[in-house]
Amino acid sequence: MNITIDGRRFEVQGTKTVLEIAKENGIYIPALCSHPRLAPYAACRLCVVEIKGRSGLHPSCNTYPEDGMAVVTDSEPLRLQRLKTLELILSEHPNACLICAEKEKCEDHKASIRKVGEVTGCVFCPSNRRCELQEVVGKLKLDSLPYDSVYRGLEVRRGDPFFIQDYNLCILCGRCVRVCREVRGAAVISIVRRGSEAVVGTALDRKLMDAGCQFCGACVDVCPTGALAERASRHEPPPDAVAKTVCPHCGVGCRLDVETLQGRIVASRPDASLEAPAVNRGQACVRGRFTLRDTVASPRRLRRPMIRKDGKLVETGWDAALAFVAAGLKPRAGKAALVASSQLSLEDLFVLDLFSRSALKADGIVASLGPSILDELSAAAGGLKAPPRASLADVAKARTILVLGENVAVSHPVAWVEILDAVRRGGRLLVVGPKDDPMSRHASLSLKVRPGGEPALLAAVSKALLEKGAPSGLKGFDAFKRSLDGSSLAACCESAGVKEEDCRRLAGALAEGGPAALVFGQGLCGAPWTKACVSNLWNLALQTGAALFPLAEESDSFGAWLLMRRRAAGAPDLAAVLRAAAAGTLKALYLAGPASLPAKHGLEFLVVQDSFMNDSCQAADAVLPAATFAETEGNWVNLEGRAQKSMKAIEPLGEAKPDWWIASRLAGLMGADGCAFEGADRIKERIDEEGLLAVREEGGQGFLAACPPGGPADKAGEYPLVLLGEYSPDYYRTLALCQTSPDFKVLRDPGWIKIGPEDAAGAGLQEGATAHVESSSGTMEAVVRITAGMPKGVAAVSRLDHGLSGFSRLSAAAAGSARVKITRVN
Amino acid sequence: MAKILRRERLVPNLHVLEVSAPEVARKSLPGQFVMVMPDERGERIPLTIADWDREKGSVTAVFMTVGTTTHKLARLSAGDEIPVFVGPLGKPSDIQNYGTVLLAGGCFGIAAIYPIARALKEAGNKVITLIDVKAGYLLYWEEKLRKVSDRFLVSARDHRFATKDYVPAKIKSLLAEGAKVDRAVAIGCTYLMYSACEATRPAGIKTMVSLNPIMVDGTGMCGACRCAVEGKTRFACVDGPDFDGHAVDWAELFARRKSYLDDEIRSLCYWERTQLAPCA
Repeated sequence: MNITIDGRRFEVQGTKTVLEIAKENGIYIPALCSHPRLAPYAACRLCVVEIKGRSGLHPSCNTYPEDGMAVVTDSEPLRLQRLKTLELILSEHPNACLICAEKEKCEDHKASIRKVGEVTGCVFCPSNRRCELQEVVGKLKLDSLPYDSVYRGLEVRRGDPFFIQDYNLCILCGRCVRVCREVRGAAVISIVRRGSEAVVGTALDRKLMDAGCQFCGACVDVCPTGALAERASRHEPPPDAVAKTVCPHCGVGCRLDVETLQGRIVASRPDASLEAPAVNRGQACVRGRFTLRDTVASPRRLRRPMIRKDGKLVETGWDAALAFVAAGLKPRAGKAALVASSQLSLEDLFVLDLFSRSALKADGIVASLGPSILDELSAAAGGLKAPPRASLADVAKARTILVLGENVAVSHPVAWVEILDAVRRGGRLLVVGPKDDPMSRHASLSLKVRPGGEPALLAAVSKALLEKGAPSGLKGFDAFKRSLDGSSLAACCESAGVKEEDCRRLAGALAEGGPAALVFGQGLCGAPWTKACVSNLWNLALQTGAALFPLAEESDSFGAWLLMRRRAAGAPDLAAVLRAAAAGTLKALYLAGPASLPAKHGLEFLVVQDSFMNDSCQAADAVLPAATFAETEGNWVNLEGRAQKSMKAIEPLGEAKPDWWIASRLAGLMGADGCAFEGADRIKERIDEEGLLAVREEGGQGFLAACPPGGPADKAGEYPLVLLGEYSPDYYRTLALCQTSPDFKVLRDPGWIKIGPEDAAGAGLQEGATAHVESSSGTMEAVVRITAGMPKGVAAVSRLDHGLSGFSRLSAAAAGSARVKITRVN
Repeated sequence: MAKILRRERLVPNLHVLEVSAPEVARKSLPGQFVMVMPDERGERIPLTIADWDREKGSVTAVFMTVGTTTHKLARLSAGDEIPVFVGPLGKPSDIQNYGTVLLAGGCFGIAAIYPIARALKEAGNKVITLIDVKAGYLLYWEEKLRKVSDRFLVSARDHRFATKDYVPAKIKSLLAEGAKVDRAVAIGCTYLMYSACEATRPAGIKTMVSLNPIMVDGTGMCGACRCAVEGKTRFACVDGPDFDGHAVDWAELFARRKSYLDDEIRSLCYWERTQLAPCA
């Protein structure tokens, strides 16, 4: 269809609003409540336009074009109307600076007043110079106001972590409320009270923290004013540079703008771009939005190389440190291993991999996370080609989504945003797990299984689908069918702790057709039943035609998986490496990632290459300071297998160097060939030459043998509670986020034990009390968090260990589930 | 230790602090200041004395929350004690019968000009008070000031006062309407004092300003508060704080005041995160 705007003719589709069409074509219409990620709202009334042949003025943000429509965006009546509207909007917003003639000179001279506690003008405001109100006032040339200034006098709210809320600056555009509900599915805030008392708030005026806020920061990013301001950078002047980076946290690989000021990071915000290649479409999560600044500047950063002399670690220069390490490693080549964090860039991992092969004579890198869900999937395959994988965009369009073994809202919050998008489009969300979590609220079916009951439930669903008769010509189908013959549907359901009718409902939902995705993650890894679960998911995908969506946990898990696929069959995994280190068969270990290695065991030479001082340093012979993600450029391969380039934001702290640089220099000193690189670009070229990123899966598609449930659930006995070890994503390399960010510690702390109200009352445990946890394999202490969603007889601790939190080995041991007894510490 | 008798928020960011300090009260004169420490680990800051009560033995100051120390002060309340409250320091303002004196004040300076206005009035001067506020809701001590003023003017960016002028515009229009001004005093932020001096300079009206450089000890020992007046280095703490504004090197003063801005910002952010945050 055709429309004209200010006499200019445009051919349009009808899916975009008049405001969007105007904006795309460089026609300015002021607007404060509209936002490209949000549904039209038409609250601010600034974007009004005239439409020929229609009476009155129409908000362009919720007017869709019609064929032949003639729009006028600028006329005397419109200008007057907008000015009057803006005057009303500003009547309750501190406006003195907006109309002050002295503003520019004043800003130059009054830099120090950015530090005041209450904002009474732009020069005081954290959003000064990036405020949308300022822009609109400038464009509309407003220079005086016909109303007396009003300051609402609302208390500045400081009771929540990460950001401060000053609703005296709020213009009630509703963007924060809408992004929280529409995009993040949280609906924590709303406009409360009425008329002149209206204000953004929570139910019962609780703190955001108590109202279920996950502090993703989406509200802060859409606020057109300074009403919501990040606490850590609130008084900082605007940044002097911005770098396009990739978040180092989960596998989604969100694009982030890292803002710097005089060579230090002041803030990180999601890239505002809504189009590819930005996978996150303007969103981020608490880790990417609020913790990176503290992580990079952590007091625990390693700044200079250190080598052990007379039993003590002493600082030295790079030349001496590299010579020392090369001399220590060379005689032990062939009896050495290299463990690397898959939060490093692909370039780092690639050179470390080369280094381990050529200099250490080891079989490539071993990821410090242990087997990732991608490794588990490969391990289950047995020469067969895995079912198709979904992309994030596929997930957003799926009709049916089954989430299993992962609280996606916490582990991959931006993937969760895409899942919610699917739900909003009418998709069905099915959630399976041992406890209630926030995802259940959005699910059309949420099934609680007994801890470890997931494989049994999946087998039951497969059986139920077979009953409906789903013949398949795929390889292995008959064997798969036979493998399920041994146990009845009822037995499977009982083993899973699920009612048969619920299981049938789940099967029914999966069989209904339309694009479907099976979403699962690291939560399934490391348990005795991991392989069974992955195999059963694989079969279920083939039965239903659903795509698999394995949530690669770390930012470069996919890259690490690509490299580790090149290892020989039977190459030692992380557990084998640590066992060999303890047994003394391994002589040298090179740790470029977190590993639970409290003592040197039988090792003769231990090298730690990391960005942060950690437990392993105590036993290390040499400690090499590595640059963080923000201090180096490189590519990170996200969970879709997409390599994304991240730019360098600041120079490395102290004498830290990129991980690839260190490995490359060491290889040179050890006389190993093929590791000499001068820059990350050259390494990427080499990676591309080798075709590493082109994933080729061999073999044809086919079913795996199903894994029906084992025996009945184990008896309670002396240890009445099942302890779940939950995967925690809250770390960067060897730094737990709660250690460096005081705000994060309030939100999530790996020192917590989550327990249901009934069990807590039974054990006499109060919120915040210290609990003594005992299993047959050890003991530990943890802080009690009474959590409504925990079923009776189940408690959960974070698996985040890495020797980071002072947590005992028990939490690591509890990777699947363990039986424990919990008592109160007096 | 000095006991706080009153600590109230007057208007956004401005607080009044009344402290029991009989020795300070007994000697206080207009234009002098006190050095204050909010806690034993904090820094010392100067605050201009805004009023005193010799009988009650109390001294009053008004301060703006503009850094870690003032934010700490603003968290204290009546009954709390502060470890340092030293004064009166600095030379008192010159109080004589000049004829007509214009007093311009903004921000904390609204309170700081009050004792000077009172003394000048008592000395037989005609007092014109010009208060600058961004908006009406930031105006305080209006009644108090009206009592010691012959004329009371406000410059503001607020419809309530039917004006969007700053101090110099008001001074210029005052002079243009033929008002005879023999002397001027300006107290407030550096920019206000500078602007006022620029406005009175063409008319040659001697304009006294109360300088506010970074100050550490307040007794002439450290030299942190040095500023250039008539080309000579002077210490604001012992040679001032009042100086002839037309002889002050303003560019140097502006630059020196920003010396530690980055550290001040980081200190405040750190304090807010560790002391005001829910994790505190």
